[in-house]
Amino acid sequence: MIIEVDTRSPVPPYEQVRAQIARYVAGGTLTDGTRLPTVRQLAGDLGLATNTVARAYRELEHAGIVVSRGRHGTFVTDRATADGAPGTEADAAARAFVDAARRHGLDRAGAVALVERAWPTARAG
Amino acid sequence: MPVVIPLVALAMGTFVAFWYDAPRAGHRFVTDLGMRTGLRVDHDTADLVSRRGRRRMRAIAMGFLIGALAGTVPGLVVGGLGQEIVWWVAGAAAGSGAGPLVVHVRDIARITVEPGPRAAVLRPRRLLDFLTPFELGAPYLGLLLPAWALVVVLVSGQAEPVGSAGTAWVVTGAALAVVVTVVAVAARRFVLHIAPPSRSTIRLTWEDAMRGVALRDIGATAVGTSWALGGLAAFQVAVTWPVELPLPLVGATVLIFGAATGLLAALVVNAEGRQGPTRRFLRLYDDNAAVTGGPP
Repeated sequence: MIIEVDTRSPVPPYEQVRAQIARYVAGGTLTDGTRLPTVRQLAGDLGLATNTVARAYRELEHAGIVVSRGRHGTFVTDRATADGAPGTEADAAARAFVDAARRHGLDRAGAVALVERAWPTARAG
Repeated sequence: MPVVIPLVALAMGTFVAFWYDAPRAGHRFVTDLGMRTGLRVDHDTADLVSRRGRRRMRAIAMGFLIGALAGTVPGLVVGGLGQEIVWWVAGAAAGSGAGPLVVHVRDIARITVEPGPRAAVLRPRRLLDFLTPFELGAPYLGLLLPAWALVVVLVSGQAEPVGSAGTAWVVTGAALAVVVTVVAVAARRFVLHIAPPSRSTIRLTWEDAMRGVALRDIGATAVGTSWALGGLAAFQVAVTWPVELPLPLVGATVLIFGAATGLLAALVVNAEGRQGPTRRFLRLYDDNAAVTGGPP
């Protein structure tokens, strides 16, 4: 499993690291309980500052995608691969819906009302 | 004293042979490693690996010479054919392992990557990704012989008082073997963790292949050196110990045990190192075919 970073990209390196790990988790390549490399190893391998990778890991932890277990390392959480967790397909669909609702001038209450109205009639499964 | 001259000549001859073979060894390093791992290679990477292989061979040659020459000094001090040979072997083994280790670390430290794409494996590295369980334990196995010699010293302490010349050389040899093993174990952990930033997946996989070679070099060095130092201690116990103890039997046991242990360890480390285990690190990459260009 390869992670790639382009330091010439306008996207900050920490965000590239964060996004790729989140994508691997969402796609099921990284399953819950998988241990990630240490911050120092990944930073050294990518030629990045330790703080850069540490920030990516921190953001992943805040999003509930990984959990740090001290000296045992950083692991993908089971919540991360559950439905609706950050980075999953449901999460992406929700974000797409919110974007569409905003484009159409709806506020939060309007968007939630749309969901409430569609929920009983939408096909399950 | 007379045996020192052939030993020095042998060290010089070996150095010259290795040194002048280095360019060809560099090419062999690429082709052998490529064939064993099946890794894809591009022109730049082949050139870099060839240069690293050439420097590795020259470091082996230089380390061998320095180690062997340094090893003749205690042999001269102690005197006696057995002492001179085992110290020479121990020095040559330690030197020929330390040389490539220094070069490997220096080569990695010197690599700089310009701004641009970099690739890394998203997996924690473990020694078992590069070494077989036997290779992992081999340096500790090399300690069995010096440890056994120490046990014999302790058991027969009444006959050969602590502080006597015989005991001192057994203890010195065994203590050095322990130091060599500790250094080797620490060096393996260090080599496992250092990595140059790689521009591409191809370069990344070759760095891991060379990491595997360096780790096996360290293991073979530790085994070879400890075996020689253990042999020194065993020789001391078997040849110069008081005969009123059942030491001929103990000495024979030590020598046989040492020969069997060392030979087995050296053979397995070298033989296995040339075959399948070089591919072990490919487990770090989910899709072997993507990095090797074919099925594993």
